[in-house]
Amino acid sequence: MTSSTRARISWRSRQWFSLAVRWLLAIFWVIVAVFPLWYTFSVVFSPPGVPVTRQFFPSSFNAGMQKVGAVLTQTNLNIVTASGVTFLYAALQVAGMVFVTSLAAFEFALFDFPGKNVLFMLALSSLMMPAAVTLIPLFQIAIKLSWLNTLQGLAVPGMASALALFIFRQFMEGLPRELIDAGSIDGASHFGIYRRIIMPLSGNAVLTVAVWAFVNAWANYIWPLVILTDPTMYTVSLVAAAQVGQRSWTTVDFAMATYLISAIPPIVIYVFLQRYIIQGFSTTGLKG
Amino acid sequence: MKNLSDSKVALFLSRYAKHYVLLLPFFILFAAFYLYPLIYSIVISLTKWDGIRPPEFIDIQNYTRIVGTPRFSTSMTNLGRFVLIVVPVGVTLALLLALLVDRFTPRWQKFFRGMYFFPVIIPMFLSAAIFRYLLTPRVGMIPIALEVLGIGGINWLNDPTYMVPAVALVDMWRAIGFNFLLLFAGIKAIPLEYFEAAQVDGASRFQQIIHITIPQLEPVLFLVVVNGFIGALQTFDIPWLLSLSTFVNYGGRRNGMLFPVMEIYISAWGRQDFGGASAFAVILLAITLVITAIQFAWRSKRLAD
Repeated sequence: MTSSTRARISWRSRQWFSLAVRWLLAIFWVIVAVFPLWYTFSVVFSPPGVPVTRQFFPSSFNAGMQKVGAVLTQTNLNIVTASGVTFLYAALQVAGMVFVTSLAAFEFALFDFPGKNVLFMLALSSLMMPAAVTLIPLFQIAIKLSWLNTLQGLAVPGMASALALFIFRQFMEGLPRELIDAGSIDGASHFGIYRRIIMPLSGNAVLTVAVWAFVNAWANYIWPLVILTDPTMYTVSLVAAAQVGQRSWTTVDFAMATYLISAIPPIVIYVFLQRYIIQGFSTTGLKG
Repeated sequence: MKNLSDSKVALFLSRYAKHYVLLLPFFILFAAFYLYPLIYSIVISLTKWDGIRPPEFIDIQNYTRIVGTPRFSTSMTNLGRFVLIVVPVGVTLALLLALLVDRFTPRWQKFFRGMYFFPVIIPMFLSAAIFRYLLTPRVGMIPIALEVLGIGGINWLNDPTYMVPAVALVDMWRAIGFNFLLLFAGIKAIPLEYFEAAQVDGASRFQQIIHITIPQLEPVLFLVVVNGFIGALQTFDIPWLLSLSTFVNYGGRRNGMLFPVMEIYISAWGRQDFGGASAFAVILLAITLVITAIQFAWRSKRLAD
């Protein structure tokens, strides 16, 4: 064997080796990312009483459906009721947020007026503010407005989102300004330009904001914890959190089935609308 | 004169009023649910207030009182340890993953990106709830896996030394996915010509990473670090649920999982000490501002050099 062929062989085997290492590491992190939810799924879809340490794979469809059924028909702190509340709250918040932030972004992105930069920086400064700072006053405002245990109490305080404003502005800045001139020549009003020209072109931004805001509303825990005292108004976060720490196997099964059900909406959204979340975050991250 | 200024106002209004009208819905909500509460918090922090009787002005006594409590120092120490794990480890691992995924073909890049970002869409209350089982001594998957690697016997949920690392672990499961996405998008935005030129000059892959990728990623790295700090200061869901906290009993054994926002929540709604809770919130706000200012100053100094 000449030294050059030996070198070639060792070079090729090193190539193979590094390729294998790359795949192993990349797949390892896929496992890390999905394992907690996969594990929850496996525990739920296994016969009751099997030690949780051995449940890497689901083994019984019927057992799973029984546990899910028990959770769905639970009378106290029902997850279906909670899902309904959370859906309505999230939908209200998303609708309000998309409206007010897109309207403001329309102005910030496409027009010039005195005070524009100051107002925009003021809005963006809220991005770094810890939510804990406004928690107590918001609670007092909610009391004054009789908003405890209401959907508007859950939804309205979070509507003026600086991140949503930022995403809309980034998007609208990319739209050609000739559209506005064309609109005003056609006699469209200022609001008409927003409604008939800009918004129909901003579908991608609307979806990005809506998907992100919905997932966030679904995940919100501390604000519902503060303003909801009536268990019939509990959000999914409060119902799921009430199951944390169960120890005996019957209650563990029940808790795991509750977690699995409460993870379904964000997962479904991610599977179908992943593109919008990823696009939105990648671009705002780069420009921010 | 009067006419002139009137017409000036009229001109101003006719030209700009329409813009302010459309900004109004956003800024009404912004003022009512953000600016006003912010000021209200600072005012309340200077009063003795149980949420029922009228607040009583007591100067900065809330600040001097709470800073001396062991719960304040414990929660701040826990926060400090948490940040020291989450920011360096979370950013470094995310950067390594981004560099790793960059080596695959576009189809696989898309696949890995989708999978790595998955934890970000899982609500934190759920990851805390599930990890509570995964971390349980002896029967949880994480202690079992560590036992195999020879690092057995750690009580993640009850040993004060490991309780902050446990919170950090759960937080990073999610945060790494988020950081990864931003860093990966940053790598994709670097012009390919830079790498081609470096290859012509005979630079190794490692040299390219050190001399091209990382300097080009600086703005994104900066964003990820700032964001990591701000996010860490707000930590609540994960330690609250991992430690099975309630109004009666919170923070876990020897307050090993007590975090500032938990202490704020408890002092306000558990002990009706709204003044003290607001003072703590304002301290948190001040820390956020100082850290952000330092980071920006550091960055502009580096850019100037």
